[in-house]
Amino acid sequence: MEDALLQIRDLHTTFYTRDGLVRAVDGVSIEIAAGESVGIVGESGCGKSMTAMSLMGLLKKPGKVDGGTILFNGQDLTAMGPKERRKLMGNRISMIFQEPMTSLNPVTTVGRQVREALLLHNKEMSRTQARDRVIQVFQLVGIPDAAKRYHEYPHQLSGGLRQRVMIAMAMVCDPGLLIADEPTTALDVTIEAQILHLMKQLQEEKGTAVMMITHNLGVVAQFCTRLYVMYAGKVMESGTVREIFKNVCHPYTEGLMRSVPDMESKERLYNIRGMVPSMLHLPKGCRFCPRCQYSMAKCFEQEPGLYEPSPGHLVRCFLFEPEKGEESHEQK
Amino acid sequence: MNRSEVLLETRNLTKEYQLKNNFGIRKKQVVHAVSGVSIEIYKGETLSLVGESGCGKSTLGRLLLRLIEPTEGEIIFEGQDITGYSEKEMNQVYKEIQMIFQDPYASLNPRMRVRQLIGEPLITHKVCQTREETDKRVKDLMHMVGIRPELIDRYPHQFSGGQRQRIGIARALALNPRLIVCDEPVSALDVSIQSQILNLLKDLQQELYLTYLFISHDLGVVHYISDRICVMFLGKVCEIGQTEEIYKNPLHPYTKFLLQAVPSMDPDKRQQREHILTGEIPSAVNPPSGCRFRTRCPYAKEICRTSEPELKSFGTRKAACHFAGAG
Amino acid sequence: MASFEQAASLAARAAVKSVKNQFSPQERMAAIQRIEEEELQFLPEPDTMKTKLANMCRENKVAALSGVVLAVMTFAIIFAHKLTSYDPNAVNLMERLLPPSPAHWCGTDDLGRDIFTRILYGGRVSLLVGVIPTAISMVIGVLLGMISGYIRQLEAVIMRLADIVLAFPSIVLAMVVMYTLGATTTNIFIALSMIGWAKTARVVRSHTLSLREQEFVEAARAMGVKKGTIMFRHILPNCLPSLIVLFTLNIPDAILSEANLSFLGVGTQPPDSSWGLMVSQARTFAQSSPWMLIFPSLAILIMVLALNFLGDGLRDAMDPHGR
Repeated sequence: MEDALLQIRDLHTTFYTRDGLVRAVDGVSIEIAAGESVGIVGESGCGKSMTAMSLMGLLKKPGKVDGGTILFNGQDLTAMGPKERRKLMGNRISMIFQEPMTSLNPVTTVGRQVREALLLHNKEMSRTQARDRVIQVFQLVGIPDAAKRYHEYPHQLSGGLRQRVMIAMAMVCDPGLLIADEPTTALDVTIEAQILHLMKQLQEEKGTAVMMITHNLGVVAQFCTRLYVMYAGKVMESGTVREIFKNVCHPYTEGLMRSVPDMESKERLYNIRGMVPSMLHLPKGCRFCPRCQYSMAKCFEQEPGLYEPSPGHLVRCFLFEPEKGEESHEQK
Repeated sequence: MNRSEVLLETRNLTKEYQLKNNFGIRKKQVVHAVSGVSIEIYKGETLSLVGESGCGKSTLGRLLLRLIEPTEGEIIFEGQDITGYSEKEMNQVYKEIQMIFQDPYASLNPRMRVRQLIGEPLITHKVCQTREETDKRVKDLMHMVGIRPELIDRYPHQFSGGQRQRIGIARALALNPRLIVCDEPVSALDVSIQSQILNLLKDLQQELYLTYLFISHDLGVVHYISDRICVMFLGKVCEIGQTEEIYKNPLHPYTKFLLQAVPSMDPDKRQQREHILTGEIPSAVNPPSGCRFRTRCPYAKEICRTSEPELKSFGTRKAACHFAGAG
Repeated sequence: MASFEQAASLAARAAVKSVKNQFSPQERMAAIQRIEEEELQFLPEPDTMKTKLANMCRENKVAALSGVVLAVMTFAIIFAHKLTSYDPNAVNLMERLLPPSPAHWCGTDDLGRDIFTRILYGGRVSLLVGVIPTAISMVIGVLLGMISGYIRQLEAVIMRLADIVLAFPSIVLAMVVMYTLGATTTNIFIALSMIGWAKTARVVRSHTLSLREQEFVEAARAMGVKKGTIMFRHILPNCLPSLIVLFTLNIPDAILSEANLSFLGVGTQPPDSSWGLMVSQARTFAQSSPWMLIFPSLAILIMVLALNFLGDGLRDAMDPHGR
């Protein structure tokens, strides 16, 4: 993928805490092409949100990006000054968050908040122009009575409508990349379906690339074309959604998929044993080995590289290490 | 499982909250959290309450333990009407009905050790006489839910979310209850931990002949754990019956849309637009007249506005829709 | 199901690989258990009061310094009789109004008494007046606050009572009490306790209101734990951090109130001294002998500032959301 819109290469984000170093993101490489929807999947603490925060430059204090590059349209975000970077954020790259109530200012009308976001990046636009544009976007994201809702406060709207306002705010500048951090986790199932459908529709109409961060494999199966599975700060498996769901390779991804109760069978659920390791104290070798049902002697000693069982499908697991004589797809 | 034996029953259970009326300037407003719910829980089964936020499922769970006092209706446990029980009489009931909470972070007192957390019900009900006896029982319970008994002196914040939920389960089991109300016990947990807890709950049910009232919004989880489900919408029961039957052939339109809204794990089965329910959940302050679901229901007719559908029986299950069973 | 078929092939692949790697299931379990054992060792240490205090001292130097200053002052006040050879109440008209000198570090007053000595002995009254009424008022405030927050029926009565106390200018209320009961140290304690509890009650009540909605309180109710036990075992320990802070912030209030009362002549009675009384007596000599005014004022200032800084530091250290 040469013409990627976003290229994260070997990103390292470390938190310098009182108790020691936490490598929240440990050498993550992610590529997103223009107009593509990519899922980042993992459990809490796997570093998926921290990857997005590093990308947006929103890391909080003891955290720091200390390695790797983030190329957006060929420009390196990590080398940019804060002023230049701010110009891109909210304009070319925007983000929606999990909790639509806390990400909106409770004392300002929603219309005004979205208008401010628009005016921030379009200085020449007049206020009435901006207002009309906001109402237009409100209609686009399916807010009924857009002109009336413009003057309402966040608490007057339901959770689903608030998330629509958040999407409107993110989409008002027609960004090239939209980062959605668990956008539907706080919503009810029927509202979740509405919001996912809306995002899909907007993505197709506007050609916006979407980075969907979620723990819900169903959402990824429904929404994304490609997928990265993260565990303890590293990408464990990546490839197209179809390939991974039909031909899962990493034992962790397999475990995750089999742990989700589906609505067809009542067979006993699969358990991944143990729990996510403390990021302050990762096991030697493969990070997943103590919980893996297939772990081998080697897994406890060395860290696996990324191997390519089929083109475009990368797996960080020794099970897929090419044998001597086999053709090598090894990445690094 | 013995169908005929009812462990707990509610009759026309109702909870309404009065909103403050701002010195009489505004009209008095009433929140209809739970409206006339009559359900039965059989011995040894898992009955799940399903619905979206604001449907009253958590309120109903708390009403059963009388953590919230009902406005109207009766709760009958083992043939005894416990609605009018005094605090002292209720304490005997608490030995039989216990609760597991949603948030494993908020449901354990951060200033108590595991020993005190699990030991508290034992001491409160004077089940164990000596300190040694209590400790032994606490350690047994920890072992039962899969926490190392050596960790008895730790504080809850030293455990991960899944382990805390295990502590919560151990605490609920301490008095050998017969009914456990599980209020969204896995919704705050990661997928891999969620399956561990679900399997633990299933194993414990087998071992201890427990009855669960399982409250959840996750239809996959509900399918896995329950024998029967009860779908609620805005404080009312829409449909109640055997899990398999309802999942295969939902009678109420709301159940149907709810099931279709769950994102499928199969990337080839992408959701169709016509399967998405439009509109928002109406407010419980002024619920729609007639059928409460009618404002979102694509099949709504005039009759849905004017008259409220009764819960009608269709074989082993019941549904509250004017057109249920009519195709 | 797609993923299930796949599992078989993953397992098959693993079987082949692990044979080549010569790794038995026993060895695997041993390796896993070793790692889990290590993880157990690594569980974070609890945030006890001790570690919280240590962290505060490391991160907030002003608060730590304030703690040291308070300790030194308390020590000096308690061992006043060892630190100075002068009698605080002995009149020596030969040495009236002397400026500070090596013999009299802070000078002498209009009756020739050593001011440094009087500050040390007066500190006893001020410190007692600071700590005892605060402690009494906090016990009352915590009890009433918790009851009014947890038992709804009593809320109106208790909180209206608190409102009445707070609506009065506190110094006027204290003066009324002192005039009716008479000006003795014990009565100062009573007067200050009577006005101090309302503030604590309000704070504790608001904490109780938010704590009673927490799931762990609900869980205790669902276990049939009695109301009193819930209040003392579940609610009170969770209020403790704010109470410690409140305590350090209430002491200066009490010290200043006593100073005000003494200044108005209804507090500590001569020849006994307290810091407030010393300031009050010095006012006629402020121009000619400023040291009489400066040093006792300085003592009050340092004590109050140190307590405030320490209280602020403790509040930050105790706040679970602070880090």
